[in-house]
Amino acid sequence: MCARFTRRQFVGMTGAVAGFALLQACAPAPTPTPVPPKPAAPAAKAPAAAAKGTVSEWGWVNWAENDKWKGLDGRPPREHFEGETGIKLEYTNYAYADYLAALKTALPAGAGPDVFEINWQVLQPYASPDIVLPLDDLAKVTWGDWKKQFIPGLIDEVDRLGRGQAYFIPIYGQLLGYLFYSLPIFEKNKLSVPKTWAEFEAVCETLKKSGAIPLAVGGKDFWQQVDWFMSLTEVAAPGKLDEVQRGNGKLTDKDIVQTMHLHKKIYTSGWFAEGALGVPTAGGSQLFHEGKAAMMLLGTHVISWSKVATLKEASLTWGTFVVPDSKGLVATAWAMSIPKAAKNRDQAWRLVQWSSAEKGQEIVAAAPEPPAHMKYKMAGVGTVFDKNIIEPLIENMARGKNRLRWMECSALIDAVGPVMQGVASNQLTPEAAMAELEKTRETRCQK
Amino acid sequence: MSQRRSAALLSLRLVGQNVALTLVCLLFLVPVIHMISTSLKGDMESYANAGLIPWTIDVAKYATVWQQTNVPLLGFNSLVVTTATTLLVLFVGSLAAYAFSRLRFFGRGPLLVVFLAGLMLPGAAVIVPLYQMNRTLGTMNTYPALIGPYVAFGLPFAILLLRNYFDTLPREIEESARIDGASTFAVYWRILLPLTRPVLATVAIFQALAAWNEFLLALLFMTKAHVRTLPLAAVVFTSLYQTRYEHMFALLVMMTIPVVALYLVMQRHFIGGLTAGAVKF
Amino acid sequence: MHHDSAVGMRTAGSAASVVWPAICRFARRHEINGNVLYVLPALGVYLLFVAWPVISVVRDSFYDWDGIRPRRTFIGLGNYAELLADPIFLRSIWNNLVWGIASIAALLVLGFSMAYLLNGKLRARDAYRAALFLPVTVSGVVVAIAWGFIYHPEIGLLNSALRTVGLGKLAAVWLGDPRLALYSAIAVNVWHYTGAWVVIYLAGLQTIPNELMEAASIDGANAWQRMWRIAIPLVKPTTAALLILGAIGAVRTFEIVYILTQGGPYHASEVMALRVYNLAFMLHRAGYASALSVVLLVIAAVITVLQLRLYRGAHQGA
Repeated sequence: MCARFTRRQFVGMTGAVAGFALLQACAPAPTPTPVPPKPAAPAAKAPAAAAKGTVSEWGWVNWAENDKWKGLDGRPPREHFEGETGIKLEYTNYAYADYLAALKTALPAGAGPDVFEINWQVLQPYASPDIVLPLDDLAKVTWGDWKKQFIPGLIDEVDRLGRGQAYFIPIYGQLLGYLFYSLPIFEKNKLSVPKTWAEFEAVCETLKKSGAIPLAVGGKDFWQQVDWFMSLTEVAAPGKLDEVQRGNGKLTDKDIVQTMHLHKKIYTSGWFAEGALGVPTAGGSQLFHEGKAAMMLLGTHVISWSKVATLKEASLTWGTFVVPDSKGLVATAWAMSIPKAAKNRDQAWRLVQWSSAEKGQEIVAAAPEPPAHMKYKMAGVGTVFDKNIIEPLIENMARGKNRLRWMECSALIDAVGPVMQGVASNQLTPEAAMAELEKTRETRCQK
Repeated sequence: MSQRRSAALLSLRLVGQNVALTLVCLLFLVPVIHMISTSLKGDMESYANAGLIPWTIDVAKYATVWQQTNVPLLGFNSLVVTTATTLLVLFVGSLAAYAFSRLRFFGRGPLLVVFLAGLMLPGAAVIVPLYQMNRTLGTMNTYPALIGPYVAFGLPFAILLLRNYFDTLPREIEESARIDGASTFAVYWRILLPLTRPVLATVAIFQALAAWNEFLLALLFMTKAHVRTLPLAAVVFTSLYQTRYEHMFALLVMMTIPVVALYLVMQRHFIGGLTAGAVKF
Repeated sequence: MHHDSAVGMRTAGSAASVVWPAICRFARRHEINGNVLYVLPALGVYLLFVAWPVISVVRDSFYDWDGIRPRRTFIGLGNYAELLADPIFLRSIWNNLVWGIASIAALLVLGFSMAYLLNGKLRARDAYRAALFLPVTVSGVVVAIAWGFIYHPEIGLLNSALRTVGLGKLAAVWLGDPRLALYSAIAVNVWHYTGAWVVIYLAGLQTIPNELMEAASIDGANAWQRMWRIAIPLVKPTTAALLILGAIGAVRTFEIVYILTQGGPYHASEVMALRVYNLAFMLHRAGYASALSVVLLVIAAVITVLQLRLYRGAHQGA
């Protein structure tokens, strides 16, 4: 009678529609109600008693496996950790650029790992009880007066972002704003280490005339631009960046706008390698390694990724100095946080503890990277290199100098990279660039 | 006389045609050749040797890469996701295309528009809610986390191609079957679908390529090592400071071989589908 | 008792016999029938993974949200107001437009001319076709990584080759120069997809009867005229279909630019999908990124509808 439409089909259709409606209704509510943070969530028991089980970790340094971390005895950290604690480590490695996207999709959805790695440029948005566990109480129970045991510059960061709490534990630090230079090229041109910015400019000019590339940089990577920016602000207007962030003055003030003029001058004078904006860090530093470029701007992190063998070779030929008229910056190269949604909190804390104050620190020191914990010292390579580079760097770091150039707001840090490229490629005037930064600061950094 | 001259002219043209085509094809192949040659070079050689001819040939690294990135496992994951996606798109898509072409039902016009509106949907625009959807369904780190979105993204194109092809098929074929008492489904399954085989092959190739090569969703939805797919593997050889091009390119070559093989195997059907008018909207 | 229940049953029965046919009639008139079941599986998947995410994006676009913290503030159309005055957003639209037009133009010319050359009695046709199609099978990630290396200003193949043949003056910073970056990426895109266009054009050309060409040839039309007067008009439906494919590709463009330039230097090569991604994932502005997504989706929908209309025209015209 009712052709091609039976009751059964009708019921089936209604069921299917109801099913979709149900699934839609099950979708997460648009505004999840913030759960009040539980203080010291993981059981604050003796560390050795921590349960076995598994812990998952995300990051970009490949803490579990990478060859870089096998310096201690040839075994990767995973083996050490699993052997000592009986906890299985599930590690997921990302490319740094992809990593941020992975974190940003996972954490707000309450997914993600038990422990994640983080560095100073992106710490700020994550340093919040809405996202990660506050760790101060736990650290006190475990280590007592723990903040005295870590490098002061790194604890500075913990305090500034945590406002009395600690949302991450530093694993190793870095000193930024240092130039590595080639001793042979300097010798050949009878140059000595520049003490002032004016001397530095003269050195660049001499080098350029001699046919060498004065400076290598990976201008395509935003973080290289950020490092440069922070060094240049200190040359242009010492202490100003910090003052502005405390509410005194603006980034559009004449003295600090000079930063961008300096930046522009470096590009227009041809002191950077040609095409610096088009190559990532790896390409830039390659020029230095090949002896084509006389200087490169990097920090302590450069030491560990050059294989130790290369380092021994390089040890006689490299030196380092702080960007003249500037200050280096102590920053958290690598820290660990525990997401609020972490399932295995005990195991997560155990991993953080192991990495920041136990065997993990020995592994870091052997890499070699500057350990965050003061009980451990970064290993040298047993050559002049130690004197030329490592010792001065580590001394600065331990003495806790260089705390002023710090940018707290991630939105501001994020804005610096593109704007620096804009000035370097003549798409922005120095004034427009600083205006864009100031606008970002005013609209996005003040709570 | 004139016939011979025109024959000579013809063969001259043929030579010209062949020369031109060979040149263009070679030019097009240079990046591929470059990729293969880089993958054969010694470790870090490409920083010094930009040319197409390797100074040293190092094939052993293929084995290293094969092991280090666990190519068999990642390849298997990619294969499962690609196969499931392709089959689902073909089946579900052709069912819907059949309905849009042959059957009358409530909301037919608007529904078709809803599907076609998804043709240009950029995946990057909807990642965040997709992620939440996977969380809600509990599919994170499982094959369906990718298969679901891949199928959904592939459907508009498949439905469009298949519906238009169904439209071109004469209705007389099915009417006689109908008179013999075939059901609506039988008409689709036994009569129309077999006629559509070439176009199905075309859709399958496009779909398989898209699924095999997809990167962003795989990166975000597959966070555990045992479910990752091949496009995520290249990451192993880049760090912030150093790129081991030779190793990475060896992996890229290995990633590309299966799809090239698939194309070569399916080429006849694929081209057949195109000639039969698959790409007609 | 007995009588009553019988009446009750009869009433129920007659109610059913009245109501059911009414439902049937209504259903038939409005074509509500089981046929829709054929569409339901597709619709289900589509609603879950396309429609629902799109709706959420629209919802998110009314909030100020960093994408990390659970706290978000309703700001109505605030994000949209900001969009209108955002030069970087406008630039991404412009870049996308350039991307679309340049890619499509290049692909049309290259695709058709290669196909036209291939459309003859060539012994090696399959080999040529396979060679041209090879890049299509390579993933966007692989293509971008490979070309990123080719474009490397110091050790890349392109500049090295130019220097070797004495054209060192033409060597350039392909990805670092704001005047070149977008076009360098477009060139990669064209290289990636030419094969697909050739293959599709060739299929279209092969449907043209040989007699037609021969007849024209006998009438004295030279090769050039035959191409312009016969081949090009007759493949118009294919051209129209390819235009749609090209536009889809342009609006969806992401991977190649993401890996080659990340949109730089300073937004010089940023296309819309990449802008959305950067805002949401790098710049912690999920709400604003959603508003941009909505605009992107609207643009995509408008282009789709317009093109399908145009296409119908071309199809009927041919």
